[in-house]
Amino acid sequence: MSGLDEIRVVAGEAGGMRENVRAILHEIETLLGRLLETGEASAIDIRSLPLMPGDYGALESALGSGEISAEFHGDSGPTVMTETGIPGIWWVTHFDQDEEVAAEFIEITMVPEILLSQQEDIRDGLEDLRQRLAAVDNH
Amino acid sequence: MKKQPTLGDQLRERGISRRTFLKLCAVATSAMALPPAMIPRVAKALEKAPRPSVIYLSFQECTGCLESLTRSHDPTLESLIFNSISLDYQETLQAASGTAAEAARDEAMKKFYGKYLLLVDGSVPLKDNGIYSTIAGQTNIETLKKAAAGAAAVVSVGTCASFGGIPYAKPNPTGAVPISDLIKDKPVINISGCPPIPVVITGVLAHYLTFGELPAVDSLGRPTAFFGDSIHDRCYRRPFYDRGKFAESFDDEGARNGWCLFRLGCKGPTTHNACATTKWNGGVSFPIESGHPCLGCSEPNFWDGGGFYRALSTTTAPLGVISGAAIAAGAAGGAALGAAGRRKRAVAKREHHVVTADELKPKKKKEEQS
Repeated sequence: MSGLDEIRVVAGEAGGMRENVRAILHEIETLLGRLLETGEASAIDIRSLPLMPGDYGALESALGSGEISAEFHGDSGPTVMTETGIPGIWWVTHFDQDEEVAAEFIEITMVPEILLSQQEDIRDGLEDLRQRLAAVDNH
Repeated sequence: MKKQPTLGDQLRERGISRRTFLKLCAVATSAMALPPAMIPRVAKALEKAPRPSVIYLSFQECTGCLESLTRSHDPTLESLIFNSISLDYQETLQAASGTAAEAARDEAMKKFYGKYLLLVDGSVPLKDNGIYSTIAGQTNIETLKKAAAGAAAVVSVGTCASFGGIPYAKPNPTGAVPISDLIKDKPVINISGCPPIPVVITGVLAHYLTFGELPAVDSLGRPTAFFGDSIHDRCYRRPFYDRGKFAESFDDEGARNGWCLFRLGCKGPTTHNACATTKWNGGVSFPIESGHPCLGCSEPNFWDGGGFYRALSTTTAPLGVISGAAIAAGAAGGAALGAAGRRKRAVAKREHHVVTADELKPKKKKEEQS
């Protein structure tokens, strides 16, 4: 155990329960209500929040984990999308090539857009499939 | 004339999927401190963005700003930026040296006249005709004027370029001035900080790339998206300030309990920057979280502020800067606001003495006795 571990980091229960977590949960509640009523999706950028040490974990455990977890393996590093214990709330973490967090959002949506197949990619895929079929058919 | 390829074209040519592009846009939007609802607009704009030429000049500086940028812990965004701009001159990063380097710069300046983005770090010395800093026999002021003439906009990277910084500190032996003192006919944006937060630099570049213009700025020319709030307003230790709970030394009970560092000289209330939210070293922490007061490095004259460990008195900040609640709480907490404290500060300022946090504490009893 290094000496550093012995230094106590106390980050407050100042103002009662974790104020930040409570405030974020209230915002999520409003946004989730809107999703249900109007279908409008939204997102919260976790980097924009002044989180205290410990808040992040508290927020994570407050939301819990749900039924679906998906991973996107792109050229720019993986993205992990997990539906939290509250349906419609997704925890989306974008990693870079070094597997460091590049951006992180709480998305209030039926499904994160990045999980959907994209028109441009479908078009390229269809083209590719047709070429492959043409090669087989001409054989 | 051949049409310049857009960023969208380039990414598609390299076989980058739409999903990856959307992800880059989400990362860039977060880096620009824009709300996530802007992601589709950023995607639309970035897709059509042309590849701008960037010329990066270094004057009286320590290269800390460039170190900050190139160790941004965000290679995704960094590669997006470096892939989508054409960095035509940067002494430290470029492979060319000597006259070849200068020639590359002059060529880019000619080819993209009126269109390139000029990044500058460091202040410019004016005393004795600017002889205190020269590159290839040319004074900084000559180089700057020449490069700025054809620039679309100028980005001052770091406190030295933005406000003069350390070279500008008393007694300013080289007659250093910030870039905005010299360039009056172009848009100039100040990304202050010693060094600036990497994601703030990349965020401003991403904004220029996305929207083709510089983002909105505050009265000191800094992007409001990152400098709109004070460190104090966004500090996780703020509740302790409001309740009058202060660390009085670096190893007392208050320090161990993570209380407010105001009395140890924290400049958070008068400093505008994004450290409290963006944090440093890939989001690990920021000075206050590591138990040290904010030095105020992104504000003008931070080096001459009278001592890093000297508590602020409310008189140093315009009343509007600190919210009413903070003033009330500060007064209730007796946070070095007494007349005795102010008098001491004034005397110390004249004589350039160091005043400890302990000395600044209101000493009612002692004064009543005397």
